[in-house]
Amino acid sequence: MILIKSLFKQNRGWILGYSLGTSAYLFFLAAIFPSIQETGLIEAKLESLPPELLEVFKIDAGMTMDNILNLLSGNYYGLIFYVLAILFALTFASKLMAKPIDTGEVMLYMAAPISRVTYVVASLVILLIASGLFVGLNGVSLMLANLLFDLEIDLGVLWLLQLNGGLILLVLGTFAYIIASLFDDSTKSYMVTGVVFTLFLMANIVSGFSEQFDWMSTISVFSLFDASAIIQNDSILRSFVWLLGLLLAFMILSFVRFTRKDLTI
Amino acid sequence: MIRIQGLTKRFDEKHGIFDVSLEVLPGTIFGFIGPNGAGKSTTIRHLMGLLHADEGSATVMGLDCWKETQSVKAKVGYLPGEINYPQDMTGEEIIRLSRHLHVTSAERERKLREVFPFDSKLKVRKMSKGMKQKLAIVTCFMKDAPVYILDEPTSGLDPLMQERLIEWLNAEKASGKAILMSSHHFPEMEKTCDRAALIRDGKIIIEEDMKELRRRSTKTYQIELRDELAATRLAEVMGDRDGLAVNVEVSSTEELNTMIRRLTEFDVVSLTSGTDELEHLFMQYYGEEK
Repeated sequence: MILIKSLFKQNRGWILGYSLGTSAYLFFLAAIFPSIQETGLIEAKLESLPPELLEVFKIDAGMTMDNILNLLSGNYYGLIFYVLAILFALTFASKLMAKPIDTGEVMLYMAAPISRVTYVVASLVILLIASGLFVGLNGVSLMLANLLFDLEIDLGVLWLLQLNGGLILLVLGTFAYIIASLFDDSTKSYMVTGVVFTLFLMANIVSGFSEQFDWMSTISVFSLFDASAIIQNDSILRSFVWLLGLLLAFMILSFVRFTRKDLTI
Repeated sequence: MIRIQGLTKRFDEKHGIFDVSLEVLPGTIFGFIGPNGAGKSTTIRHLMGLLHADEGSATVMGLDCWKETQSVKAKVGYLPGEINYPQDMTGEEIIRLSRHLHVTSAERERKLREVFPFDSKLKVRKMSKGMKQKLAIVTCFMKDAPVYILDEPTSGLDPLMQERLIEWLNAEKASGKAILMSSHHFPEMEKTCDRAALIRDGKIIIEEDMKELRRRSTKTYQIELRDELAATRLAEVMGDRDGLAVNVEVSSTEELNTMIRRLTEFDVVSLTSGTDELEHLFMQYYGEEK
């Protein structure tokens, strides 16, 4: 418990930064949504955009912009969320694994009677707290906006979106954590993780360009977070099962890797 | 208490440690010395459960340092060679955290903070090397452990603090603690260690009791004389001339007394001792490498 408390204290800056920053963005977007909606400019603007671009931002051209969640599915819960999730995962892995090993800061804990398993558990708890705060505060900010501006948000859909988003954050975070534990050099681990995540993102974007590239979505973890599908009440059970499976696999790999790693600190 | 047997870790053909063995008994301080990159820290990392040996074993109080690392670390106070605490934490926060992470003694902490005073309100990033070292010393010794592993413990300390640390180490030794200390600072080794080993290229070159090492070591004196004629005369009976000075190597008390008796016949301007005995001995081994 003391380890979790200490790690949280050391990391609360970036954790709150992501949570509060994105929540404030969502709240303000929700606050101005009624006035945007009145102008009717969103639909007109979307109609004027090429379908490929809409696909990049995961905007369903047939979806009416009569609800804030419909707007957010293409705005925030598309490319913006993917990029934020990548940065979030890189920050987590860097702060809890790559940098402490590279600089030797982890020795503060490794010199204490703490097992490596305990350290990994504490890191993953921090990831859980950080992801929970991220999507939790996002959800709360939209609920607050819903109360204040009467946005008629479907709360079931809203929290399903948050749950899916939270799982994506956890999967990317654990994946970045494993990559970070493969190297002693933090710069190298950022590069490798960054390249892999960028490839995931590109595969997801390119898969929307034509049916010919449809298969590329299967190699991208981002295809497991489709906000439009959630809003249209399509079944997302498969995505959830995949995400939970990946999360479990990455967690096991994190334990296996870190408990066997030679630490030259 | 600390036992390393045939410890081998190969990073590649030339780098690593090879067949390292040593033992540190209760109530003794073991000096571990060697050039940079010789394998001192690699050996210590095995004791702290950070590295997994290819061959051999490292144990503390009979506990395997890799398999039972959590139990080992409960019995060891560790002072790292590089102090890398989280930069945004204050000294006070690190001490408070150490109290929770380790089983510490409030009385020891109070004494340590008196002996090694520093501004604990400062963040680590604002601390000088000496302050960080004092913080690390406090957090290491506030744990009343039966075993201490110290990597360059006097690094960054001023002479007064070095002297205080030596006193502290000797008190710990007297109370039965086993201490393994790596160091480049020969005077502190002479003042504290009971036994020492030199490691070079990952192999132990020499391991002896300090008394034996002192007995085998030679000491160099530089004698400066008033004129060249006197220097030449002295060099004829002992030492090597270097301008107005003569360098004399002495390896026993008999030789030292003979030198003093002879010097009474000369007009000596100054007499300075060269490197310390132990340093001189180890320098001989360092020199063999070249």
